[in-house]
Amino acid sequence: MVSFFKNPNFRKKTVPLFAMISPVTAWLFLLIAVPLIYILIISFCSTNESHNIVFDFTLRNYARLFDSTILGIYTNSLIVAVLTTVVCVLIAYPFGYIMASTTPFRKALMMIFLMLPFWTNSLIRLYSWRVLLGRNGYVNDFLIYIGLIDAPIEMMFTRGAVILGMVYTLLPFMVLPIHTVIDKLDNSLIEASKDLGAGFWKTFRYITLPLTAPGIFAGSIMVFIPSLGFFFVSDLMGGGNNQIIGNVISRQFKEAYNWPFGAALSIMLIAITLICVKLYTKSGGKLDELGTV
Amino acid sequence: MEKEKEPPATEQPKPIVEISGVNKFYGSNHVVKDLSLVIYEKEFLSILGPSGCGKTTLLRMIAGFERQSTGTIIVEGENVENKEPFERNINTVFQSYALFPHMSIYDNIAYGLRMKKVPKKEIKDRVNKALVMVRLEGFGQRYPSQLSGGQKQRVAIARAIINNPRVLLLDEPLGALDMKLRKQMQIELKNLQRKLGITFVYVTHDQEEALTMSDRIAVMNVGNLDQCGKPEDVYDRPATKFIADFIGETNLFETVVEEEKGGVAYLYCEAGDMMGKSEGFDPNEIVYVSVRPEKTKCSVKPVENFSLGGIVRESIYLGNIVKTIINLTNGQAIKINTSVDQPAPPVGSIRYVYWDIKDAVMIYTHANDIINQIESVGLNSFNAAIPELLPKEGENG
Repeated sequence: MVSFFKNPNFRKKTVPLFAMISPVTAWLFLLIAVPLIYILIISFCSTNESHNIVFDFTLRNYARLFDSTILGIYTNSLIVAVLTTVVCVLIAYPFGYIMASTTPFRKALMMIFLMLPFWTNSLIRLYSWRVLLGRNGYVNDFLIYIGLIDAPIEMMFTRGAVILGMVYTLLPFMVLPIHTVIDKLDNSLIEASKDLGAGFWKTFRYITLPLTAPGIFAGSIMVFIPSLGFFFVSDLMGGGNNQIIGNVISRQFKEAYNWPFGAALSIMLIAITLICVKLYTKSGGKLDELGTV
Repeated sequence: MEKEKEPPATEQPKPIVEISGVNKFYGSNHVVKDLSLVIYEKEFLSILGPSGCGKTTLLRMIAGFERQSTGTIIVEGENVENKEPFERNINTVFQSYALFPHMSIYDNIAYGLRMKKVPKKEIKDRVNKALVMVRLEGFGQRYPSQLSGGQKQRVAIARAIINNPRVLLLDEPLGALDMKLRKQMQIELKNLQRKLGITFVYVTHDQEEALTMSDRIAVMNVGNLDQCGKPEDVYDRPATKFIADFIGETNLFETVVEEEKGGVAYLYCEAGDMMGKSEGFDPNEIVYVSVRPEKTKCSVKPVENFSLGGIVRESIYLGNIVKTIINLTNGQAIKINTSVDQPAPPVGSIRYVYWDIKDAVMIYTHANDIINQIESVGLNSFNAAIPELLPKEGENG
């Protein structure tokens, strides 16, 4: 690429470099760089009584991050995110494995069932879980009807419900990268392993799993990071009992009107995200494989 | 290559793999057709055929990656119908090598032993020995991506033979290598097979490779096993027209038997008359005659009982031989190889093609058998069964 730009004929033969890349640059600059820089700046500011931002320099917002309530929410958030990721891997791996080894027709069918819910707004889909799992929901009704329980049990507004909602929303982001790596796996490697004396589980442990680990890792990042910030899931499924970082950030901006503190929380979230991505690339993952499936 | 002391010839060979009546269907696709083949201990058997002839499928059934639709495969006296690949004393060298990319060469070779829970120290000794055997000492800590094609090939072989299999299956293992490396690896493989004393079953579409390396060659065509025999048998006495055409160069004539007299068959084809070996043919039987270019001759004057005249179209110098191409009257191009010191016929001159009777290979077409069978069915019963198909009264000749 570098040599391409150094080529003296480059300027003569093509549209000017600036004209070529400026629309994209402008787009990225206006919609990503500017807001991010603004968030970074106001995270060091404070507010007055009427909630207006006062442009001074303070580290108070960052100090507040280590407040015990905030730390508790961070912890809860991390627990939800980790469990969501683990559950997603456990469901998505067999799903992706079957999808990669079945007939093209069944594979297409599985893909449709995976993607079909995405044609509906995720809020509406999450509301349907309330209908199913609520106090007077169908699941409770059914369990009482078959006599397993006497009184309805509280399934909504628990951490489990939040994780369920997260898994439900984010599962495709795990399935697709995992399916891609399993699909790409050379079948003769599996055969070679079996030929050399390994049964199904040993082959899985020593060949399939290590060679498909990049897909698990890519999927984990795609699930872990959003599950820290998907505040609407914990709003709907957790009902305020189970707050995640996203909830706090959203509340600072929408209700408390403390934008500087919200900005500091966001910067922290971005930092966590970047650390995850760094870990991913350090372990040999490729950045451009994260988004593509 | 020496031809005496071939294992099956010296003593009574012991069968190690017995395939009988094996069929394989993929949906309605019949890829292996009622195939029976016995593979002996310590022999180098090539399964030769064009792509899509079912040879790889056959190999995969022996290895256990595919299950035959019908028929039995017996390995070391045991039916392997329900045995997984790792329960058979057989290892495979894959076409694409199938080295585990995330493991070092050492770990790749040690894989089979580790799965069998061989003690660590023994694994180390055996892997190092295997590395020496394939001349890759000091490569243990490298990864497959750091090796050349030929080196990967040798790792794949080492990884398979370290398990001491009774049979080693090789699926076109030299296909991806360049010409020079191929030749070198052919000799190495043959030497290795002799040294190890295990059975090699070698799948290839390269007839030259099969002729160079094999004790026996099994030739497959569209799912059938056409012939199985020593290289010289397959080359000199091809059983079918396909084999005559597929293995080496040949001049092939579709002929009709005129008569047989005194051990000589008098035949004719579109281009003219010729002679061949008498093998008890009926008059008017259709027979293919195959004559190798190095056995075909030409003369200025017609030879008795031969009338295959043509024009010399080309004379090609190939270093050790001269290849002359003669166009017969029906357009068929006849190839003749002569040594360089013999004068080549000038291009454009008229020559008559002939050969020694012993050099003509007679190939049965079984066309007459089929015709006889059709005739023996008896059309009367057929007519009785379907009266409306009968010709009208009076037209019946």
